Amino acid sequence: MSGLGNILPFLQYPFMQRALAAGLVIGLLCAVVGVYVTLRSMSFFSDAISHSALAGIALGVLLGVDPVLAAVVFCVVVATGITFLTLQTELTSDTVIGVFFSGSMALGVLLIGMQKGYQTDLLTYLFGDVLAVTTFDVVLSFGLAVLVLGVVFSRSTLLLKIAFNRDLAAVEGVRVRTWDYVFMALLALTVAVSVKIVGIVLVSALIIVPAAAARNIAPDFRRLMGLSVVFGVIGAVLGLVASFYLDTASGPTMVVVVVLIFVATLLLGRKN
Amino acid sequence: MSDGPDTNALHPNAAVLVEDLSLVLGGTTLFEHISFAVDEGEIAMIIGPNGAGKTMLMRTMLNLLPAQSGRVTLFGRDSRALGAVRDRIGYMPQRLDFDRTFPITVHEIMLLRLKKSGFWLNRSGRRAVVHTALESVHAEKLIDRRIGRLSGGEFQRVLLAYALLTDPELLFLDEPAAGVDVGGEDTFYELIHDLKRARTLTVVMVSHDLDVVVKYADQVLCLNRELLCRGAPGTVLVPDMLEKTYGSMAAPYRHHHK
Repeated sequence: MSGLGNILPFLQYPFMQRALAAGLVIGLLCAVVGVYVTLRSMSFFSDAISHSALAGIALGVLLGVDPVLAAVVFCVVVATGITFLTLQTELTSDTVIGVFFSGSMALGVLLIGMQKGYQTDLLTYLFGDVLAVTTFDVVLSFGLAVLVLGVVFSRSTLLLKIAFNRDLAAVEGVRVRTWDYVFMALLALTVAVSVKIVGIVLVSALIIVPAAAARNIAPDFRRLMGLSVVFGVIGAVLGLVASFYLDTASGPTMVVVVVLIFVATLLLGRKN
Repeated sequence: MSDGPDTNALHPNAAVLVEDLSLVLGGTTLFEHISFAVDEGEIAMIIGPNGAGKTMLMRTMLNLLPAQSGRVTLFGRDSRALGAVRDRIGYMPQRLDFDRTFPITVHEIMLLRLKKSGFWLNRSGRRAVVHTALESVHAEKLIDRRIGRLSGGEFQRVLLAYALLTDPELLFLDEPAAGVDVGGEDTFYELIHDLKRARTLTVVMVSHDLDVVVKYADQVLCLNRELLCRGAPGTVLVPDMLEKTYGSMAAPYRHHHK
């Protein structure tokens, strides 16, 4: 590690090693899931889920459970609730999202207030903190990434078909409603593992922006996916390294990098 | 208009059997007590004014909307549990239901269907099947085109090729030529007519163009929340019936012949 550390000095720090390992996985994961989220115009769903992570984290801290693990469970529950209400009632999805978005945020702030003493570490979840990434977080993000990417890639045709036209998929025998639940759960897992590095407020940007940037220039689905992954990974890694040198918060730096990529592809796409 | 409980016995060759079908959504009745049968090899066209429930009827027949009551049978199977019969059915939704900015090529769209039914094929084998399907609708040159770059008529033909990919015996087409320029529209129906000659194909179609209905339909279904008439174009498309279906503004047919 010391040889590599001479060239890339930030690798000398164990916290940066952990952050980069987790960041790489999260950048990849968010970019892949983000392709389907943007194709299905679900960006506000990811916002609602990410804001509910605050309540999950606060619950974890209060109950003495690992906060990220608590957020994983809580986000999946919220995602299931949103999907259920959207599918089974006549409420419009923006109403459902609005209720969950602010409701779970309020619950999170209330729960944080119930914690005795020092509360700052909960607030670092809002914008992400590389220093907080533990070895357990790295292992958890790897494990969940394998699970989510495994489902997404083994069912990529099916997920794309639903995104392209739900009715066609349903007529061909796809259980679209079941897959709505599955996809929302995958999105919830993606959000929950990303929250610690990227932050609650910005995680959906890391999901949406790489895919949106890829869409500016991709001529077909295959390259949409490929470019989104490249942009997501570059954004995550470059953002982390930049935040190390500039001494800035990790989440906002990553998001600024992917937004710059978005602007560049937007200009490039316009030109062609 | 209901045929009553004997519909089944009256239509032993029915590819499509609709019995007393009603749809209620959010307390509003969109259509009710619809019964009809479409025999194998027939072209049935559903006509009616805007908001008559034509698309809703087709979507209910395909179990995309939950019927309040009644039953739809396709090739003898209840449409809620089609099983293997699904592969004998092709569906073409309205063109406007699609997001044309979706970054996907014609070839990739076709693969969405082929990867299930043709999973044993390799890459070039799949491409050959896609090419053949596109050829049957004269769209093979569009294979690598992004859908955003297709004209309305070209996109319709791609959707038809998609529906035909599994060699279906029953096609559901929702306003298949809506928004296509007049010349292109005629070609589209001729295309379906030709396809029908090459194989036994039953077609259920929503159409707004009465000229087309007269020319190609074997059976016309006049819908305006209930089934107001059904039968051959010559017996159904008479001023009385049209007025009943479209109301006092029963002008569309005469309008086309001005």
